[in-house]
Formats: sequence, structure tokens, C-alpha cells
Amino acid sequence: MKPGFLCWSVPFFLCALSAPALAEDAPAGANLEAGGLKPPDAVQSDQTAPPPSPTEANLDRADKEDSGRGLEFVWLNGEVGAETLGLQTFKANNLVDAKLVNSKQTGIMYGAGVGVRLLVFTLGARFRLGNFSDWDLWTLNGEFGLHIPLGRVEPYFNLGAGYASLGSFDSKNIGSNLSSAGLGAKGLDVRGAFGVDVYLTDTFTVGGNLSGDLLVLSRSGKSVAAGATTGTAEQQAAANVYAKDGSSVGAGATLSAVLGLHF
Amino acid sequence: MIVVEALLGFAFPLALAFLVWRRVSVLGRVSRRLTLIMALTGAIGAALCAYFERLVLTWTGLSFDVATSGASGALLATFLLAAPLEEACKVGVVWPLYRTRRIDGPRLGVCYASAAGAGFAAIEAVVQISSGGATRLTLLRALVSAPAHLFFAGAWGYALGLRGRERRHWFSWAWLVATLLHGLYDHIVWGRGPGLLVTVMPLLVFMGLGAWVALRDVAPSAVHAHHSLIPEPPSLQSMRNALRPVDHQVLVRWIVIGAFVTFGLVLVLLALTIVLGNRFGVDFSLADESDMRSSGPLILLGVAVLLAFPVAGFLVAKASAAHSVLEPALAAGLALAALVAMLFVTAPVGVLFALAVAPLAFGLACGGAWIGLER
Repeated sequence: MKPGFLCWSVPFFLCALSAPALAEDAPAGANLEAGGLKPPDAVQSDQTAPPPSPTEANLDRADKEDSGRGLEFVWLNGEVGAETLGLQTFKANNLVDAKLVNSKQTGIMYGAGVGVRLLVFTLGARFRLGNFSDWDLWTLNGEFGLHIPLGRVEPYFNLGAGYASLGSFDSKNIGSNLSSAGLGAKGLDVRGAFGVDVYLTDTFTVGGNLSGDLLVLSRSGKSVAAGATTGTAEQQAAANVYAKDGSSVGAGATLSAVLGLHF
Repeated sequence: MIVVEALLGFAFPLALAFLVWRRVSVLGRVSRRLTLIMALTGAIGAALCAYFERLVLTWTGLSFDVATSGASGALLATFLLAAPLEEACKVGVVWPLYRTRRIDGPRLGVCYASAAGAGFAAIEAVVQISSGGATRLTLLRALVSAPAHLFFAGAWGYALGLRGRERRHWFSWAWLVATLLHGLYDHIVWGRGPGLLVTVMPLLVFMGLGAWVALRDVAPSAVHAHHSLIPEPPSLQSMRNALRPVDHQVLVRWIVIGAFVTFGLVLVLLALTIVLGNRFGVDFSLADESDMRSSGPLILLGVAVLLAFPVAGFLVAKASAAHSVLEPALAAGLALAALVAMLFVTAPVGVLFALAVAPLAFGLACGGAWIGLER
């Protein structure tokens, strides 16, 4: 016998085997006529139909009443927290002049995210702005998440990557000319995060998030016009540093409080 | 609202089909007209199937929903009616192209079959949303259901494309396996409560990885290989080579030992997860089929089960100094069969869970073994 024939015949063979059982389960109220054929009368009547089991009743109730619970398609959240960041943690190649600019700082972070959710997977975009005393850093990342719903509490893991931009250097450190020349760096940000959301209502959550960032930044040389460099001798020396290209690999960690809406 | 939901359910599978069409077009344009005809005919087939299914279900009193006709009734309706009928309908749509020799390889087979699957899924979504009360749950089910229509049609479409090229024909087996897996998938998505929807996640991931590998195989892109940050998946040919026994000998001893190792590791990691979960306050009795918010324990247990397979595959390959993935793979298959048998006796609902995890677990075991191979 050919395997192909076997494949095609299996479902029909099983159908034939189960036909009597199906006929026994035919509903009493069914009165379907098609093509001039009338199905046989049902064996069981409504009065003798067994009552639904508790599990079936629960499922039925879930479908009818609770179909919206825990179902989400869109989420958005806002966050604020503390971020500590080292611009040159793993590699330093003149991204900033370490004598004048503190490359390792702690500041306030503001952020917002929006995205979609399918079952326990989320996909979205997140903007974060880190406000530090010597410089600012903003990131715009794509984000993928896995959520583990445990009743009202929902831990989750996120992975994301995107664009990072470093700028707004304090003119007191680098001099007004470099500052006004728009000294800055850009590059890649890779982020991993763990967080917990607590559902206060079906749509509103509060939670916390701990994330780690890996920053790969680079900048092109920024020279100011000869004679225009004013300020201290250190600032003039810094101007020479920033005249050349620079790059770095840094790292950061952020702890934030998150408010979220889920629809 | 019902219009928006129906539109979403309609557009999603077609968007996936467009992505497939664009991907397979890198080696030369695939006929847009034929792809559209496949999608359109698939849609007509879906409407006819929906009508016929409703007719049969009304006559038999069965339902795809466990809550309506019980587990056995829903399983019968899904595996003996919906899955074979729907996959056969899609074959019927694609078959004329095969007979007229317009499918000259797996690339076109995948593209046309998945287009037929997309058209089918689009109409199925509209029918379900319009007849299911347009709840958000119905929309979610329709969205989750769409990739399966494309993937399983693409799987036998691949085999159909190979028919003219290889001596051994895999189409019948590919169709049968696709039908059975699609039946399992549909039963979980449409027949079970919302809390069990997460159990299709391993199948979703498996389908995603499978599509990635298959599309790379039928339409390799040189640009992608050199400029992408994401590593290229192994080709199907390299997978076949890895599964080939060395010197045509199968080491039965390592298959049995491997099965024990895999099964033991599954039990150990499950126990560890429960102990750690209890320590961190996770209530495993929370799992409730009717509540999506209680699916966390299932996810934790699923991750534990899945984690055991690549680790066991790696350990067995290392211990046996294997040059082939075959023994660890067969060991994983044996362990999965034992797991299903054990659950069948102790907790029948767990069989669904084990079967849903099985394809991905098997793939992960092969991956772990491949890393541990002697080179």
C-alpha cells in the first residue's frame, strides 16, 4: 500500500469509526434538511441531556463574561527613575576629555514607551532621556518583551536596541564655543530589562523596572575657528581633543518607577 | 468596532503572505497574479469550508469548543473535520498549479501554498469575528490562528515543490503532519479557554524558526548573509547531514541512555522550578483555563521543560562523543513519547501541553546536540 493512500485514508477511517458515537451525541433540537435528505431524529431528548460539568461551566462563563480579562493589544507607559551611566566603561577613545568632563554620572531619567501585545509577547518603541549634570543622553529603542502573568502581578523581561544620542554638554566644562558648535556623539544602544507590573485595575498598572544598557558611541571631530577658543587653558586643550574623532563603549543601569495603561 | 476587528483579522494574514512573497522574490519575481489568485481562491475555499463545517457541526451536535461539546467532542470535530477538510481545501486550491507545472520548485510551492493559506485565514477571521460576537478574545484567536494557516500550508507546499525534483516524495507525509499539528493548534486556539492560549507559544516559536529556515533555504539572500547582524540559520541540507548516522550505524545504547537523561532532566528542572517558584511566592495552583492572567505558572513550567532538551542534547552528544545528531534527536523523541504517555495516564489535559511543546523541544535538543558534536 502506498504511504500517500495511507495518509489520505487515516482521517476518513477514523471518521467512519467515530460515526456511531457522533450520531449518539446528535443534539435533540437539530432539524436540518439539505438536498432533500432529512437527518435521523436524535436519540436523546433535552430532558436527559447531562448537565455541564463545573469545568465546562467555568469555560462557558469565561467566554461569556471574562473574555476581556487579561486580554491586551496595546500598551503605553511612562517612567521616571535614576540612571547611572559610564560613557567609557569598556572602551575609551577620546569620546570626551576625561579631565574636564566626568564620564561617569548619575542623573534622572524620564521615559515613555508604546507598543502592541500578542498573548505574552510585546513589541514596541521606547524613548528615554537621561538628564545628567555634564551632559544629556537620549535613546530611542525598539523593544521585545516576554511577560509572565501571575494574577495581578506580572513580571516581564525586555530586550531592545536602537539609537542613542549624547549631547548638551555643559559649556562650563568644554567652553562656550564647543558647546555652541553642537558637540555630541551618536551610536547604538542595546538594553536588557527586568520589571514587574502590578494591575491596580484591568487597564492601569504601577511597577518597577531595572534595566542595563550597553552604549557604543562615536563622534566626528569638531574644530572651532582659530582664535575663537576662549576659556581656561584646559578648555583650550580640550578643544584640541574634540577636534579629532572619538568613540567609546559604555554601560549604564537604570531603576525606574513605571505607570502603564493597557488596552 | 466589529468592522475594525474584522479588518484587522482580514489584513494580518494577507500582510504575512505579502512578506513571504517579497522574501521569495529575491531570486526572481514570483508571479503576483498567480499569488493573488491563490489568495482569492483560498478565501473562497474558506467560505465553503465554513459553510460545510457549520452544516456538519449542526447535524452532529458537535462543536470545536470544549465548553460546548466536551473535550472528546471538540477533539473529534477538530481532528476529523476541520483540520483535514481545511488543509485538503488548500491543497485543492494549489493543485491545479502543480498539475500545470507552474510549481517548479519549493520556492514557488511555499509562496503559492502560503498565499492560499493567507486567503483562507483572512476569510476564517472575518467569519469567526462576525459570528463569534466580535469579542476581543475572538480577534486574538484569529490573529494567533493566522500564522498557522500560512506555515502549515507552506510546509506541504515545500514538499509539493520538491516532488518533481527528488525521487522520494514527502508530500503525503508533510500534509499529514501539517494536518495533525494544525489540528492540535486549532484545538488549543479555538477550543480551549483563554488561559491555555499561551500553550501555543512553543508552536508559534517553532513556526517562526521553521519559516526562517525554510525561507532561507528556498530563497537565499547574499545581501542578507553579509550585512545582517542576525546570524543566518542552518540550511535544511546541513540539518539533513547532521542527522545522518555515521557509518550507517545507529547507537541504540546512546538513544536509550539519552532518553533517560532527557526525561530525568525534565523532571529535575520541573521540580526546581516549582521549588524556586514557591520560594518566590508563585502560586502554581493559580493556573486557570478561563483566565489569561493566570498563565504565568504554565509559562514557567514550559520554560523548564524546554530548557531541559538542549541541555540534555548537548550532554548526550558530549558523553557519546557523537559525530551525528541522530542519537540525541532520537533520544529526545523517545523522552517526549514517554512524557506524553505519562501525562496520558496521570493528567490527560497535559498531553496537549506536551504535544504543543514537542516540535520546539525536539528542535532545541538537536540544536544542543549540534553544539556538543565532536568536530
